[in-house]
Amino acid sequence: MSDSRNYTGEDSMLGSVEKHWRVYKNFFAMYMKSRLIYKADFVLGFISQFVSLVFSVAFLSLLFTQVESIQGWTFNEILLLTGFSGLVLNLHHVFFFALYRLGEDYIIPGKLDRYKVRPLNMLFQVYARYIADDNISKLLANIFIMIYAMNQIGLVLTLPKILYGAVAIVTSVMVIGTIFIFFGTTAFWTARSQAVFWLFFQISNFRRYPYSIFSRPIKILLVTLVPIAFSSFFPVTFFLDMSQWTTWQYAALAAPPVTYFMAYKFWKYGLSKYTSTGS
Amino acid sequence: MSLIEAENLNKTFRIYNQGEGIKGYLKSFLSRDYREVNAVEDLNLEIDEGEIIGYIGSNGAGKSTTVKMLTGILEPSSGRIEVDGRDPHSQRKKNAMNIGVVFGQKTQLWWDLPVKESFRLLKEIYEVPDEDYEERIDRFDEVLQLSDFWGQPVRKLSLGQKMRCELAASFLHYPKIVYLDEPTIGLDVAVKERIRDFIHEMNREEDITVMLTTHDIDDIEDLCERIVVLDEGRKIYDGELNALVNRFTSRQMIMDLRDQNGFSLDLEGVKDVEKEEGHVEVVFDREVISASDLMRHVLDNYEVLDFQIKEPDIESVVKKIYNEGLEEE
Amino acid sequence: MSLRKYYAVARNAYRQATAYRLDAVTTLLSSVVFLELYYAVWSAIDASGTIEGGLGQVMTYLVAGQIVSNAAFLQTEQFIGYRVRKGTIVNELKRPLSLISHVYFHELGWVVFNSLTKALPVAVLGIIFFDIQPPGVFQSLYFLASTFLAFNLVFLLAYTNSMLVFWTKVDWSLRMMRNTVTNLFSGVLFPLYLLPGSLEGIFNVLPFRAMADAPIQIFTGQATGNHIVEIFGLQLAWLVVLFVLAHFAWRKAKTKLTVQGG
Repeated sequence: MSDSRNYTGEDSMLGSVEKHWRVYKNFFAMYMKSRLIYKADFVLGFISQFVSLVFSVAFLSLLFTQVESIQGWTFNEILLLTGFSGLVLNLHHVFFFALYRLGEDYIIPGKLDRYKVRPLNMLFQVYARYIADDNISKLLANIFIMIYAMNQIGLVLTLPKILYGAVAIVTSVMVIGTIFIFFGTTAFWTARSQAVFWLFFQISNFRRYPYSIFSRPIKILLVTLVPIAFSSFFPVTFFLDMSQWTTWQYAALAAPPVTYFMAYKFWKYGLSKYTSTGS
Repeated sequence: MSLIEAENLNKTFRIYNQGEGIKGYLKSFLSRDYREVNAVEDLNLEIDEGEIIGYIGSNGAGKSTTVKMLTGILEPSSGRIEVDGRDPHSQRKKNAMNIGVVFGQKTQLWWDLPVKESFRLLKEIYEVPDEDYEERIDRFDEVLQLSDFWGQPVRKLSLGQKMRCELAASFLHYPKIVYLDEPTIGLDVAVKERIRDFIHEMNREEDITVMLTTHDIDDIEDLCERIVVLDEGRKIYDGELNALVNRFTSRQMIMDLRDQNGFSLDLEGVKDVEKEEGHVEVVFDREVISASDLMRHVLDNYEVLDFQIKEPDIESVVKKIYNEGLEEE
Repeated sequence: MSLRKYYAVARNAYRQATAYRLDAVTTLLSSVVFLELYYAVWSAIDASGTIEGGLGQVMTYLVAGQIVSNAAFLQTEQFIGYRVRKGTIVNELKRPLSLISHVYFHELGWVVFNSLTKALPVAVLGIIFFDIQPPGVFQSLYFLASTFLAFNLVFLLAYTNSMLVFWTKVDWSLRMMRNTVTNLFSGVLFPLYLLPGSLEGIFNVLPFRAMADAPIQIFTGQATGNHIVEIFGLQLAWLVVLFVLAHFAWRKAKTKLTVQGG
């Protein structure tokens, strides 16, 4: 009888990662199942996201009725920029968006107590709780735009570019993840997280346009406080063989893992400061 | 070596003043003024394997805070805790594998999913082997009758149904310890009985230690052999329930008499008679004299307009213990 | 008598709205961010080619667009959607005010609030930071009148759009879609006077032009004299069309509501 009792603490790092992965698969499957029950909403959400992307491409086309190129960037090159930056942004959002409502949905209702009592990583539990399925359609649309743009440009995917691209997608998602963790963790002190993210949502639109067109203060903003230049512009310049940005292109690969790690440390710090009120 | 050991446990909270509006929000990034509250003071506690202990006290006494420290949610301000050889705060995840928790109204299940999916998730999280899982669910079903609503989403369940699920969920992985915080609050008698039966079975047959926080005296009387009483963060009683039974058997009858001036009672079992404004309060020991006998006597001799029988509540028990001092085991 | 009720509703909405001071600041700031972004984009375009009318006029147009869209920003879909989900929409039918009047005066309260806290400051900022030449007194009055008409048009569109809530229950994405479509076709996003001839047709046949481009042209001074009269005429014409549309949509929704039993 006591054999069937669980657990005496053998706990390898790999075993833990594997368990988290298994649990996540279950979470994901069940979440999607529960969303698909509301088919009409799901479809409508899908459509509305698609519509907004169509319109942003339409807007870009209108801009290009005025010029052939914007600071050397053609329509298709900017389309590629839109596509790539949108891809990584939405890829992040599908899986890691939950931090946006950390204060409102987790801290204030006291959900974190419940999470602390489970044998799972805390950040993982927050991530896993919410899947932004609205962003799946945007993700697909951006992939399509990227492929279309690459085709139009006649971009040849050489091996270095494929490798770079694969890594860049991961690191770019990390950039967004870093931002989300830093902004979201402030909720441990202020109990509100949505307000802070507002800044991010405003600035994220800047990802669609070449970094080079912006004034110096904005450029600084885009590589420090809201460093989305690392998840849009710099990686794309690699694809377009724009060698004047080489250092930045490699920084875009090397920096994000470090910053994400720092963000995680900040998260743990915030978590330890967090005390739930005794009932 | 006890299963749970807490030594010189202290928890002090800082209550910050929350600012209003934008200014308040920005100010919260700088320093704020606060006051300190001692939620738990100098607590010593030892719980052995296989015990079911009742942890009682009035609201704000520090019960939840203690449980939160024992489960690793809060870090003590000072003192030592060892649960099955581990510090629950620094070894949170490992400790979590070994415990089950029911937090009163807060659910551990997934709101929009059917009950069975929640349990499947828990199975993964707590690494319950496949063979054991089916067996345990069937067993739980026998006592708690979960199959009635097994496929329903959690949000559609009644309070009683939800509580039964919560309980099963906390015991699913046969943890060493289960902490139950107000598990029977707001439930009807039939469900309460089922839940108590379940706890008994788990404790007896799987050797699962239970720490029960409750206001319900019947819970305590049915389940606990030993109780610990907390008042304003301090432990004021730790011992066998039997020793306190006589206090629980005290009952109070309040009567409105037509004329209470000439009222007197000289019966065995009557402990105290007090005449208040408009009514008479009689404290009696129901093991010596039953309420009906007492009532019959009063009705025979006096004209009664209205009456009421009051059960002792935790607050009055605690107050009594507090006033009469600490007792050794 | 009933006018007092309407006034009370509007005043109530105004009071509720002033509680949202943070909201006003964020909207204002998001306009600033918007203008900064497109100032950079259009400057780059200006450097690469020639913009008909010059960069300055583009900025004036965009600032005016922000003024109009901030003033006429509505969340009607959420207002109605909330009541449909809660079931309280049935109460609206029992009230002496018709639903559309109730919603209209509620939104009117919001418009007053928005104009003061979100639209006006944008105008000031535009003058200070983007070198906008504000219109003269009369032109300003015509601009205000046209903006008011624009609000009415946006309202009717939002109200019609809201009727879909009775079928779908997802109000937030409905509003988003309306905003997306309106922003592009009304000139808030792209100055419509720069449209190539081939596209003018589509934009003219849709009602959105009258929702922003119309007052904007008055603000920038691109429309003067008789042209202003034409603009008013256009807006009023669309007002009639959209009103009929809204009425029709409401009738359909009401049938669904009563058939479903609320």
